[in-house]
Amino acid sequence: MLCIRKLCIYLFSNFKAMKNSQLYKGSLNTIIMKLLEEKGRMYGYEITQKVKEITKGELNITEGALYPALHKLEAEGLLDVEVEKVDNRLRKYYKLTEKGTTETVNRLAELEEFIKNMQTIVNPKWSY
Amino acid sequence: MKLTAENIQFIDNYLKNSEVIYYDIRMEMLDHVATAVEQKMQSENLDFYDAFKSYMVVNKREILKGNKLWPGFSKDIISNFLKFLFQPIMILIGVSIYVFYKNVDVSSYFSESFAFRNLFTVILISLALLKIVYFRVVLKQRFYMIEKIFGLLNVFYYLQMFFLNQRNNETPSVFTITMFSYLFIAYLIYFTKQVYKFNTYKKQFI
Repeated sequence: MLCIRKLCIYLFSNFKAMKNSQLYKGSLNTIIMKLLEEKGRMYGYEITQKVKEITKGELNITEGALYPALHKLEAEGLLDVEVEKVDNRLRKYYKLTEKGTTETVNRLAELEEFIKNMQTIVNPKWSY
Repeated sequence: MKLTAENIQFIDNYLKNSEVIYYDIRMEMLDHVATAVEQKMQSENLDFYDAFKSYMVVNKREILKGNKLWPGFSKDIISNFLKFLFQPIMILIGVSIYVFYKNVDVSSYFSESFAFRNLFTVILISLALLKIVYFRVVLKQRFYMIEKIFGLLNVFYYLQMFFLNQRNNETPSVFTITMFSYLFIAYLIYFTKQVYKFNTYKKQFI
């Protein structure tokens, strides 16, 4: 009984880890840029919640991954920042720059190509 | 349910005590925590302290991952600076410096006791002092956005140790002198540009 319990805990923890695996890490910047392309401007917490909502809780972007990614995109000149006072505190909004908008299109095309290739590899249509 | 000014101050103090030293990073973390706590208060019908405690127990580690304690070598800033160095106008400046040193023997203007290598050390120390004065006297707050630029001085320091050996009494080559003059001039231009950008950013924060 104890072994089954341990196994369940192990499987559950690995299942959870899978949702935030390397596969997602490589696409984090593209996910952020795609969201900003659609919404115009967003703040950090809003991005995490939006991703959670779209994927019905399947994908959880952690704060430790999100903010360094946002700062990197900002440093690369792909994002611009606007700060506003909201409810007794300052809120930092991110939006795509002109360079960022062009880059989003390129990265999305690259990601679509990648998904297509992966689908071909995972589900090959064998011809005899 | 909105947080009061006291609640916000409480979160700010908590982050300060957790060594989130940069004002711009702390403000962003504060908004993230405050928004999450507000939602928790509403969805679970908790008071501020319970909601804050239960949120931080689970998320503190992740939240504090974004805290940059020491901007020593920021990869982003190094790659941005390298891109800046290879802009056409900067290359033109670099070539002009090389032509100048090639045609004018500047080493004769310096005494043996105060060689070129010392001049670059003095410039490096002056820039480091400028950093201290700028943060302590002018800004009075630490901003990661601008402080990370000073991380480039660390790179210059190690480059200088490598190329301008203090034990070697030979006069450095024209190429070495050009490289360091170019790096320092480019750094000053880059820093001025970033400060200009930062001032717009700072106005929004303060």
